Amino acid sequence: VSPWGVDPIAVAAGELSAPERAEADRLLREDPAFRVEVERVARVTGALTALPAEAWTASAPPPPPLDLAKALAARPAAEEPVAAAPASAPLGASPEPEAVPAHGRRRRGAERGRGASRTRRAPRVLVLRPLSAALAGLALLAAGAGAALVAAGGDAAPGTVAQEPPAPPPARVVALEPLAPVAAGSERARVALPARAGGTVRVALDGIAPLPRGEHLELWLLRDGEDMVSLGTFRAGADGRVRATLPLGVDPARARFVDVSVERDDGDPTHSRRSVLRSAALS
Amino acid sequence: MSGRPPAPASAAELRLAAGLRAGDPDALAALHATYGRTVFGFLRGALRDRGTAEDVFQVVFTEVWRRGASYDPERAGLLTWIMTIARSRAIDELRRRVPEPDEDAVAALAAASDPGAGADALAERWRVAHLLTLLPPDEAEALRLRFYAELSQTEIAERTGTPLGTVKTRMVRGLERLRDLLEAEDARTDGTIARAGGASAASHPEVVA
Repeated sequence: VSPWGVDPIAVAAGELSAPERAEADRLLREDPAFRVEVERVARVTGALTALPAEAWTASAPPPPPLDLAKALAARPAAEEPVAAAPASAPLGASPEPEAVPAHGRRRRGAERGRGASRTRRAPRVLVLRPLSAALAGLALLAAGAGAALVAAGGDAAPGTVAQEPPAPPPARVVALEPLAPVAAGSERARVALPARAGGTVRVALDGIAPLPRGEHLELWLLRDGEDMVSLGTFRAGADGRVRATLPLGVDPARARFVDVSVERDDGDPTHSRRSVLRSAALS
Repeated sequence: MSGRPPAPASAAELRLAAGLRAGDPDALAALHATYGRTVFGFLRGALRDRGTAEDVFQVVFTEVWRRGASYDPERAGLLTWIMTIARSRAIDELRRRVPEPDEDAVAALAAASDPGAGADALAERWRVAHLLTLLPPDEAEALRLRFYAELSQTEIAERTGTPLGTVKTRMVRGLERLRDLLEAEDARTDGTIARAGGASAASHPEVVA
């Protein structure tokens, strides 16, 4: 409650009746404490008055997506377990040096980002080798896909009204099973997948057989025959381990499978059709 | 400066700070989601070129991540810390614009003899813009109608069908809350946005390049 007859905040807000104005003028002249209080709020009203229009409206352009790979190159992620992972063999978060996020680079069917210079091969049909009878015969078209998946995701802009910074999205651990025939088998393969876009995907594979020179692994989210998106590429270390952290720029809720393929170092952004690991259908 | 004791960081801010210090990439993603629009808005205004602002934006968040291990929430609010880095990188970018610097932009940022003063004012506006998002929606809307739509309190009451007294109350409470949020940030930073080489920078050296 203001000890004065006129509230200093109301004075700073600038709408007073004539008697209030006269009293405010008197207090401003004679009462230093009142003057200080008005100045405290005047700082805020001054900033509000000068605020750019886009700061007031929801039409302001969203910030550009974060190039997490570039940041991680400046400071590697810490070693830490993936939430809810099985107790054995901690899933490290330290990214493999070879891990390359696919952001703006290898998204199938989406507009490729700046700096993408690779040529595209003609679309090919990707057949999902079944993990179970339910998957048998399911084919995915590898053409122009990913658009819906990508369009539905993207880096989320903050809401217009937010009480607190959002907590990092919770991740669920998805187990991957080897497909036959496999070019790279895995003793244990898990991916920690955030519940929504904007977080990071952590990949932990063990027992990966060495790949021939000129080949690497690539992580995909598959939705259906029209939709797939690459999340990034990586290689296994000499010990057969993969520990990669990749940014997730799409909505994972729309994906039905997590897939790992073997790709040649040929610059072709499309899926090679050589899937070696895949999850069961995601619920 | 208010001279009041430092305000404690919120639980959410402490959680983000802990993640940042620990090197958790999810914390960086959350910082981007929380402060990205504010930082980008400031950079677009300061640099007046979207492409350049995007480049500097990346630099800012890379630096936030790189310096994250040394961030101390007791010494600066996250918003202030990030905006200080953004301000420094914006000034760096403007100074690099040779041999044909954007004189208008430089003039906008470099008021009088202090090259950081313009940036400080702009950064403070965007800090306030961010703090606006923390207000209850009805108070933020009252302030938007008053300061953006430039309506009088009477006009706001008529337009929204809200009693005039309620409009006044919301406006006063909103301003009061904004003032307190801003001063709470300052209390932990011992000043507004740290100027390079200034006392505030010295008290939190990692915030200044």
